[in-house]
Amino acid sequence: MRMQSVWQAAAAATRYPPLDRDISVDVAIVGGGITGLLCADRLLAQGATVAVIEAFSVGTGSTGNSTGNLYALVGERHGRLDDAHAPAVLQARSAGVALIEQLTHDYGIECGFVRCPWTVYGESAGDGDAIARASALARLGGLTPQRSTPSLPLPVHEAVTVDGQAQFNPLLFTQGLARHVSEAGGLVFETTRMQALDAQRRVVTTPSAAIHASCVVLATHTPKGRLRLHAEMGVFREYGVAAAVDRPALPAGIFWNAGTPNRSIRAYRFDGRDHVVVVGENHRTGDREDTAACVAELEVFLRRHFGVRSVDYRWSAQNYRPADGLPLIGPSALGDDILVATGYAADGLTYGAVAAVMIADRLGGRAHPLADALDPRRLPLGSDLLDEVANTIKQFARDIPGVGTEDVAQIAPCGGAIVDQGGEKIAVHRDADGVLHAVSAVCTHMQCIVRWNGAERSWDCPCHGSRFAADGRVIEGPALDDLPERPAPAE
Amino acid sequence: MLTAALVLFALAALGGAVLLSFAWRGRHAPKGIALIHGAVAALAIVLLAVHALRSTNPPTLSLALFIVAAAGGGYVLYRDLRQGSVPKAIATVHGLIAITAFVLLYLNWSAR
Repeated sequence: MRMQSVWQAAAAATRYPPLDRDISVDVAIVGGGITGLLCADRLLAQGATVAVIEAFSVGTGSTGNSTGNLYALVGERHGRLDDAHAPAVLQARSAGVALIEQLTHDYGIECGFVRCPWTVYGESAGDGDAIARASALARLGGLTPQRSTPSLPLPVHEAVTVDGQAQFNPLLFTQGLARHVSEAGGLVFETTRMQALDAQRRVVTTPSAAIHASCVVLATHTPKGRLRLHAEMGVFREYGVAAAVDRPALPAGIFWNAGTPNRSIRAYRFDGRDHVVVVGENHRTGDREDTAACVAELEVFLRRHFGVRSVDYRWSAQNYRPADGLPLIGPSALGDDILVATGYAADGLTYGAVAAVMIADRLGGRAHPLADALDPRRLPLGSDLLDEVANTIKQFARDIPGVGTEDVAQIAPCGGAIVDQGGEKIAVHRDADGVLHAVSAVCTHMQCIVRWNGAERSWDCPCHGSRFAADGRVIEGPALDDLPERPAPAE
Repeated sequence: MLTAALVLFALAALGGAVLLSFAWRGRHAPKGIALIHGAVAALAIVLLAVHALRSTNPPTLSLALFIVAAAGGGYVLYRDLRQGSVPKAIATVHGLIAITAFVLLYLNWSAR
């Protein structure tokens, strides 16, 4: 299954050089997604010198595989954003959306940014509580929720709408931002992966050179390396599908259902055709092998409710859910000058802007009202923290020789499985030509056993979300090192 | 209770031997076995501690050595998870301390 988001299809490739010489800057930013590049932009604006390194191409990670929705409200954890923090969080998110809009205009970034309403709808009376909670939360954030009757080809029992939210193509925005950062004197490097971080000396090492900085921002969605905060966040994958439809099937706006399974729906016109985008089917990373079934569920949903002409784009992204429902933005346990921005749950595009403002404020010596509440060094006590710790222990407990392994002969073309080879667990992938490829099945982050992800042909770690390509190369997550190669087993 | 602790320590020793064999070969130590090894040993130490509190001839030295061994085991696990490798020498010393404690405990048990 080819996985490519509609945002990627609508954007041309970028070409920034890899880092090939040692450099010194005020701030080294690891990660060229919306958080990293907005940070770079804000820091350049206050006179800092910055360098951004991106392991692949700017914006093609989680940013380019998101929903493209910008909103003040927060997603799956309405109930977790407590009333005390809600006003400041939602106001910061509203300011984040406004910042993106401002930059879009100031820099002339053609990313289809439009203001639009955000609607949460219930398909039955049982969804009333969730809708009421969303309304209350919106009011706490200074927003004006209103009862509405959206014209959707879906059963709608009740709905609440908040005006003034926004949509864009997140990849085009990030690419435009990278262009501006580069023109404004910032350094942007692609295909440059961080190999190691010397937190004391603030040196970021890459395969070919190093960056010496006064401060390092880990804007990699979840920080690279081993930090306590990895144990405090649940890691989930979520899927997106875009289908061309016969005619405009949705009014402008963001539409979430309040019940389960969760769905986020929006329209997007691209390549002269109207598309409907649906995102949902989330599950813990590494929990499912038949991930193609998640994509298929979304396709069934689209075909059931919309006049689908063709399903053109399918994609997936990862999100990190903090145990207390608040993101983690600010100085890390590695030191005051090693900043992180993570725990966005499924609301990352807007939180990316919030993080950029907070980090720029911190480095500019300005206080931010959320600095303490979102401090990554806090301990998020609660039942969700126990859930995450229990999940990690459960994954470790499965690591017993012979347990959870399969026979090589059972691996279908384009499939993968964990195989026991002389007491060692190896991750074996059979390519389309039937050739076997093997790597160690032990995640290089914290040594959990990886699992095959069928739709994306990757090895995913169920503990902290490190993901590796079929050949073992790191794709995302906290792991720094690739899965080492192993001899392919005999058939 | 002492007998139960002795049996549990024997089971933990089996797991420890398997883990040591992985460490000596420079192989990934299976975390499932490490968890079982640690949990069984911890339960045995609790039983032994309860026995020691009630006994007129408590196996104090054995208990102390098991606690030292447990601390060593925790450190080995920490190093393994944080740095990706088991410190072989410390793992071996941890095992030798536990064996010594086990022999002392067995002598205490057989002298009853």
